[in-house]
Amino acid sequence: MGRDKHQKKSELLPGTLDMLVLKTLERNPMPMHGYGIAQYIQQISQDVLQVEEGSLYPALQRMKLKGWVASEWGYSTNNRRARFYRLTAAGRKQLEREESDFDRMLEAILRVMQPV
Amino acid sequence: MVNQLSQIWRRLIYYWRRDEFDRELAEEMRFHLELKSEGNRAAGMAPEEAHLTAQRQFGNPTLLQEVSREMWGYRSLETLVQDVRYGLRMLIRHPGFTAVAVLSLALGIGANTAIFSLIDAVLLKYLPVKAPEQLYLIAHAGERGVSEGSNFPLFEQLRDHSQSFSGLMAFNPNQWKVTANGETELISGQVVTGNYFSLLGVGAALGRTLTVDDDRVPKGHPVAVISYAYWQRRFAGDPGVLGQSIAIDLMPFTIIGVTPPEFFGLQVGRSTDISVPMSMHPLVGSGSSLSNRSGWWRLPMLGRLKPGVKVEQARAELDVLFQQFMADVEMKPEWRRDSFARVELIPASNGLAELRRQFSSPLQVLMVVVGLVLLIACANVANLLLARASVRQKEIAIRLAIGAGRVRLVRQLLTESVLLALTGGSLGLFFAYRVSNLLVSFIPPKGAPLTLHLSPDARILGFTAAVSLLTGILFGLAPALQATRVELNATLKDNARSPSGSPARFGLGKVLIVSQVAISLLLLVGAGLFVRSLQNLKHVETGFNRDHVLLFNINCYGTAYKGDKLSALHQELLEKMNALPGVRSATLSTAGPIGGGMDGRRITVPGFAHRYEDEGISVNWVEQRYFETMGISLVAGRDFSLQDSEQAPKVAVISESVARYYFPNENPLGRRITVGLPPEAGQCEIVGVVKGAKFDGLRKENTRVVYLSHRQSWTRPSITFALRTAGDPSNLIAAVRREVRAVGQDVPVTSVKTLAAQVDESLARERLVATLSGFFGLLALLLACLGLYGIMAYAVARRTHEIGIRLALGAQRGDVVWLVMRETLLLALIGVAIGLPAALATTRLISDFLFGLTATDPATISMATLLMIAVAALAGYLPARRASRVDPMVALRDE
Repeated sequence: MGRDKHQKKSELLPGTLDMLVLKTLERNPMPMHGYGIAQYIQQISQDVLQVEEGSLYPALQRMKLKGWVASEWGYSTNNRRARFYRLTAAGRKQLEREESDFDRMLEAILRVMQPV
Repeated sequence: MVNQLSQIWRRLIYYWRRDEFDRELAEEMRFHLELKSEGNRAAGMAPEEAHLTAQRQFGNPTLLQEVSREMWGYRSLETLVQDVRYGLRMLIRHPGFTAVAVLSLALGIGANTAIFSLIDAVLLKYLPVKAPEQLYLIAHAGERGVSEGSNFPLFEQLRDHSQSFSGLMAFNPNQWKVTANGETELISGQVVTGNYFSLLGVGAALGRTLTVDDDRVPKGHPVAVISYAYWQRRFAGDPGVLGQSIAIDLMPFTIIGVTPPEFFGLQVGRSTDISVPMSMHPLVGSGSSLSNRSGWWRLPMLGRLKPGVKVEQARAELDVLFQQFMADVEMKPEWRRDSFARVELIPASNGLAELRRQFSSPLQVLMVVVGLVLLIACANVANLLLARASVRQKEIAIRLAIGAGRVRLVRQLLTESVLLALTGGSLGLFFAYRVSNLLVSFIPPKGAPLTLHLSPDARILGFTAAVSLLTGILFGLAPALQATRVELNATLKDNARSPSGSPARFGLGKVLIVSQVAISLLLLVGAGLFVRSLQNLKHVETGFNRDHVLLFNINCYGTAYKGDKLSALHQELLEKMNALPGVRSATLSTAGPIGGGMDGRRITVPGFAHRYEDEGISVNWVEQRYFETMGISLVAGRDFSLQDSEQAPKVAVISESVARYYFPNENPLGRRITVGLPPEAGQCEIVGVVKGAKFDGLRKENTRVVYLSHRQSWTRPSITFALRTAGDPSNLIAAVRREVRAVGQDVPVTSVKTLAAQVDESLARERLVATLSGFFGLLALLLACLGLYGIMAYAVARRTHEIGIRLALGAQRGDVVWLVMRETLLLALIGVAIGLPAALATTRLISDFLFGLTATDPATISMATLLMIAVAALAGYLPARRASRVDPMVALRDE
């Protein structure tokens, strides 16, 4: 299978996928396709965070329904048809909310974990 | 909020273009997969491996697509549509199965809907008035039960002093001779207090309704409100009806309004067509004085409870007022104890109905009966589904093997059975609609024709839909669960006919059959008891000869025939009738036979120690030849004769039961009795004794009757004529009407019918129950035996191979027949063994309906049991014969 046992690929923390996708879209000025989003998260996290396709596409559909992302069809760098996603204003607001929630949560966890 | 709206909008767009969305999603995933395998190749994998690895990592694209689609929340709807489509296809592909299943369900559900719509109309439906649940009938009660009639002074007392009601009103139903547009007819009307319509919250469809201002001056408000039905019937819905004059009992009234179509008055099943103010009561009522405090208890009273007031609280308040009122009323203490002890409040939300009293228990019994029939039908369909599930075993196994979830499959199968049930339900609704009017014809019209609204409304539709859904799940669930519990490997490898894994499934089928037999037996026993009771009632000794007698009624209330003119009319009619060809004898009486409303009078027998119970006696004033015409035989003494004229000494004929009661061990002939109270009372001499007769109904004991000479009494406006005819009495109906009209155009003749028909009509309740339960009992028997036949035929088909071997090894045809019959009879006997105790336990509940036999009548029970077993044996014999004709060569080669 070739999966390195030492290089542990973490499961995403539950509930963070939306935030990661939104953040990815915010950071990239150009719209991105699904594969690109997954690759980006994996690269930036230095292969620690693996985005499973099994949850990526349902998540994208969900965010489309909520109006956080919008999509349109375009052509990829190697000239193939692909669906590109971009952040909407509502998505930006949602990202802010999720970021601040996440910060608070992280702080709290660190406070618990740090030696007194 | 805006966000939610736009979400809904997006969902709608998605649903509209879901195929396109699906395609796009598939393309997007394909693209992803390609990039992924390119990435793998770039990392140095061989193209083939790169592709496979990418696919492996990606997972099942179809599943992924489903999950993504689920985000849009339409999966359940989509699968439902899919299931329904698939189900419909399956049903269409097996028309035989579908027809049998749908038909048995249609019969079961239709029967339930029909009975329910009757129950709904008679028992459940609310009056079409404002807040009907606040309405209460104010009645009085004592040891002899509840009576609804109050009188006007009591009404005034309660109305003026009670605090618990937002209003009290009173009304008095009556029958009037009404002339409108030149036609005279008998109409159901009522006098009402001025607040009647406002208290009920009933407005006018045309003009206005009565108000309190129409009810101020005694005899001063000749105005009338008519019903919508009467307006349509008599005035063809002419808006110019307002201001027109109609004559009620010869008194002119002006029409001021029409009530809405749905309002029929307060009596369920009887349309009240004309309402006039209470102030007019002295002119169009029975003539009794409203101000009489101690008499005329004929005025039903209705109150609207104030919101928040408890019923018991209101009753207690009224009771205090009632006791104050009664303290001033002169009344015998026994009467007081029997009927006037306290106030009772009866909920009037569904109207006042004599129909309800008469038919509520029979309808409840029938509802249980049709419920059981439906259960049998369900069991039948469940059995069919079980048999089909084993045929579909392979299909189901394959679907499970390629990854269908069991829950999903059960849902699919349930959808099929609910589809079946709904189809059966719609067909049943159609059946019910066709037969419900037939059902109403079982209820005889008493005076006015019956008006019940039985058209299927939202409640009926809801009931049918609910019953259908419920039955669909009821008969579908067990087979669906069984069908999906499949041993995959075994089933897929096996050929379809091998008996693997089947004992349990077959077991459920047998349990269903046994319970069907048990329930059918229960229904058969019940039906047998009802039918035989009806038979007993039909042949009960009535005391009169019901054949060859024609009856008709002349009711001259409210006409110009009064006093001498009235007696002249009666005499003339009597002569004409006697002269009619085909008439052997004609006579008249004040009371008709069977529920003819016999008058009660005080009887005093000198030398007899009267108690309260025997002070009253039924009195029938009759002309000569009455006993001969009615076929009541004379036991002693003589009939009335021409010599018993008005001037002659008064005479009486008594029934045997009167003789036995008041003159035990004595000869009553020549004795004198006093009938009635002064001033009409007079001594009369007993000149004859006749056999007892059933005047109060066939179930009752012979009525104790004193017959007095009609000639020696005052003439009554309502008289029943009786003709004994040579041939079929119904042949004379037209002639009678013609003769009456020849005597006078305005002579109101009503209900011309044979005595036999009248006796029959008094058995309406019994006939309704006997006919329907008989029909449903046979239906149940048929369904159960169809089920039995089906399961045995199926068993034989499965065992063809085995039977072939048995025959090849030398078994006789008879042995094979017995092999199948034994199983059939065993199932039937187990069913009987369960059904009999159940029948014995439950028939006791219906003993009130029975006549001339007990609830555990051995003859009925053994007949029902024999019938059940015989028909079951027949159902088993057909497959058994087929089994015995199996050709061993064919059966074995088939392998």
